[in-house]
Amino acid sequence: MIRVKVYGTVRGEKRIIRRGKAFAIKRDGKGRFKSFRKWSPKQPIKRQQYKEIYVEGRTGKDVIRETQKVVDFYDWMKAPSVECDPYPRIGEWLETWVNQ
Amino acid sequence: MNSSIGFVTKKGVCLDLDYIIKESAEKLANYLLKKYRLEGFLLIKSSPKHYHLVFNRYTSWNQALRIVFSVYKAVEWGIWGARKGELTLRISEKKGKSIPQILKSVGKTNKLIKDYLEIYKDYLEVYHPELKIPSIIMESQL
Repeated sequence: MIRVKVYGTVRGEKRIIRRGKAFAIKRDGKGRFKSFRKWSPKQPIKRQQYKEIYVEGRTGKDVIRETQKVVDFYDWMKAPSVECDPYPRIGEWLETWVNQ
Repeated sequence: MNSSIGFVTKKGVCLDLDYIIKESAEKLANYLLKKYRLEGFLLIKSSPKHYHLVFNRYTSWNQALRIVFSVYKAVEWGIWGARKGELTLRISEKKGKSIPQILKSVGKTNKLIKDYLEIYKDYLEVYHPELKIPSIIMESQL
């Protein structure tokens, strides 16, 4: 059995006030409602949450395809951020590897 | 809200070394290879001054922890692994960092290194089909 872990930060809770009471509401990556609870100062909101999901399978390809479903479901993975370097194209990548 | 994909193992030795130069990482890898008879290693560059090491031989969890905690640079990372009961190495890109690059393989590559390369290759095929699979993976016993 091959095992792979998908991990990262997920959007946390937000505090809202309705009818004179405070609630902590959770939404998913696309803004869809997920859950809510009564807020109290002894249980403050967490703006970011660290989440780990383990994906298992018989072959590596099955596992990686399931990770795609997990990532789409939670809407986590995005295109590489602007801060990181752009991917080198095929020829450049091989050259850097060969020269190192 | 970005996530990463990691290779997870509890039957071998992996190291995540931060703020280290390539020569020191290689020296450390050769030292551990001979001391604990780990059959082979894979040197991976995850980002500038950050290197990963994967050793080939399958070991028990206790032995793997002993080796990880004998390396000063990997102690902080090893604590997280010990807490969860497994060691994780990043395979995917992450905010501010690109995919780890495999630099060198020494010795045998038929056990834990093969597991790592299998998942690395499948990740590239599924998420980045435009990138060519490196020759090190083709040459190894996959």
